[in-house]
Amino acid sequence: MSDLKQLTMLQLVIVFISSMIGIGIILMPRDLANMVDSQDLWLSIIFGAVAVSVVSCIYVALAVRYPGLTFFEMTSTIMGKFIGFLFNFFFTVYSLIVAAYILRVTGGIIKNYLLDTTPLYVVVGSFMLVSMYLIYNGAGDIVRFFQLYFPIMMVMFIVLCLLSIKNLDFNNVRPVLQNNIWTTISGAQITFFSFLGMELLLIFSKLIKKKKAKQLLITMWTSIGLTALIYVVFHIISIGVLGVEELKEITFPTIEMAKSIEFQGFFFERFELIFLFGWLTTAYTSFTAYMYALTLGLKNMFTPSEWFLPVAGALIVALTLYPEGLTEVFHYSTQIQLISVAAIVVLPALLLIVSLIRGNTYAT
Amino acid sequence: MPRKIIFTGLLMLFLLTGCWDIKEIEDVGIVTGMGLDVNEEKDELTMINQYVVPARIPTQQSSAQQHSAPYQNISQSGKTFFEIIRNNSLESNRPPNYTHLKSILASTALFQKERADQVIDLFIRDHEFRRTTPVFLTKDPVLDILNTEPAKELFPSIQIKSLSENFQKNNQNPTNLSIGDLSQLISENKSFLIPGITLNEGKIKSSGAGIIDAESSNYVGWIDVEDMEGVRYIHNTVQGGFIYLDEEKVDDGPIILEIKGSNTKFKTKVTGEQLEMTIKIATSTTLAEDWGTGRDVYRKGWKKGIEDASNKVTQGKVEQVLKLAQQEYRIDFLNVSNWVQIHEPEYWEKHEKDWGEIFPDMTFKVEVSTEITDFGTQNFNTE
Repeated sequence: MSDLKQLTMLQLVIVFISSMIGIGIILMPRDLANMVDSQDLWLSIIFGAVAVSVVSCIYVALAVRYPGLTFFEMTSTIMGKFIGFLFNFFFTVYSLIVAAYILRVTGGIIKNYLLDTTPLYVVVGSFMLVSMYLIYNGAGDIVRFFQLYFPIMMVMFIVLCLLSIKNLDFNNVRPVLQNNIWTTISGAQITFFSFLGMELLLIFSKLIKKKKAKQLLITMWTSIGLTALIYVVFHIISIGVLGVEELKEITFPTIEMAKSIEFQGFFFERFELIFLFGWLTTAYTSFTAYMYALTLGLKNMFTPSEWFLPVAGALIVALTLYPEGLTEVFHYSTQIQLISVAAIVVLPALLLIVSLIRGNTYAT
Repeated sequence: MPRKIIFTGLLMLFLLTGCWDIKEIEDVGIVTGMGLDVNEEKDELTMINQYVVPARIPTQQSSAQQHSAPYQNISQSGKTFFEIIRNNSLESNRPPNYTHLKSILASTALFQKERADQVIDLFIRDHEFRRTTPVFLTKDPVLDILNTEPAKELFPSIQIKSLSENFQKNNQNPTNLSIGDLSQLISENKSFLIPGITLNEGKIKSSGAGIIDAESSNYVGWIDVEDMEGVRYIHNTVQGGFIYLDEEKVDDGPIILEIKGSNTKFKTKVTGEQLEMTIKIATSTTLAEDWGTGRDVYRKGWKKGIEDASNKVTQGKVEQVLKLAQQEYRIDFLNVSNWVQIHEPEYWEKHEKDWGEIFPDMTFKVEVSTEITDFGTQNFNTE
């Protein structure tokens, strides 16, 4: 087992950012452009971030009341064995679905841009194996891996932004703040889900012993704020390079944006390949975080056995290969969003309410 | 322990096989240019692929002996472009690779027959094509242009692309339009210009631009080289070039002013339902060549007459293009609508649908202010 016993604030921020930024940064521009249909769509991200910050207070309250317990242990402490089991089951299914969704979209992108002729199950399977290898040793290693690759991811995003400046046409971003504010706010229902990952505080809370609520809240909000900043910058650049109308039609807008970078005769003539390798790490980190949640859930619900990791892997691969094409995959995203709301807003809120009523905390 | 080592060794034999499916770069058919045309006889599409023949690229030692062109053009016809690409393997053993495509040259006949959005579908859908590849239009036979002996570059397809490299020295050649820009303009439902190429005595020459209409998505007309300057002012892409003022416009002429920089601003005014637009062009120039010798540049006020004349010349050019757009073609290929959208978002939201009717009857005011900032290193002052 890993020797990491307590996460620092910086490590927590890195874990959250790494699990939040994933496929959202590739897919969100298109969904948002279709929903908001104006140059102001980046404003929706800020509204989404505010909503997520409010929700994150629930997690912080739970994590402070039950330090050292994961979501799966909290449920039975608060709700009793049977209802706790149901809660755990639902959360596990949720992790499974999100992990499979991330993996399938990542697989689709790899097949589209990198490995043309490789069969999907090979792509998905090898991705899965690497992830399983990392999870094998527990949360400490996952956190350390995130920490190791975080700078690389950030450098990749910054380089992409810098190289895109040449193609930026600010006339595409104008007029600013002319859109109906309610449409912009309603865009938050899409951007909210691009912050999925902050609920993993309840999973990594195992490594949070005793922390002050204020300190945890600041950590959460810092990571949400930084993620929102990255998203906003990316969206402004995407609109500036491609235009809103074009964003609606491109399958993977961010990659196409990277593809329009060209410095003649220079090393960066095909920058999107380099960017994809950087981005794959972010997809990998968010996938690993969810798969870790899934294995933890399975471990808690059933008698511990060393076969949980392969079982989790097999479940994800089976679910990943279930949809036939990307159209079906994107189609499921609406259902996934419904399940997410139930799993990450309703369940923790119920837990917190019941816990407050019963007044029991782990600490006392 | 030894068993473990043997097992790892065997595993590595399987996993680290390295480049087992390597493809030598000489065996990849790198395509630098593509021509799109129609086959009138068979009523089909024609596609010309310009392949690089690496063996014939002249090196420093062998350049004296070899004279054959280092490219091979394969022209084929078919119902769809993808089909033609795949049929290329009937003539060439090297599979085409489009990641280094430098230019796409289409004929006006193609865009007259087919919709532009349908033509470019393959090029924005397939991941091998890049969004940065520039697109050109020609009235001449596409195959002839791709078969010319290029002057500077080794390949006609690269020569076509590099013509616009001097866009800041001359205002008459258009700036490149990439396939990504094209797709953006089409999805925004705008009319636009595609840079034009002609064959002039066996040489490739930049010549104006072709107009693509938003609604029909077809080729509708041509903007000549002389009118390109006005287009560049409205597109705000003027960075250099010159203004020629003949004797009629300036006493003691002719005079050439070199443009050092120019900026175009758009002001809109809505009164009721009426839309009015003012185009303000501020140009900064220097005196480049003076055929009148009596000018005293050290005396105050020598610029006044020249600046006024230059204002009129530029204004005339811009108004000429606006007239073409509003009266002859009645299409907004100058992308004026973008400025309406930016400055009058509410008006635009209401009238976006009938922009086609509003544009031809809009009032434009063109205001030019030329400024001469410098007169060079020496000046004859014989009088």
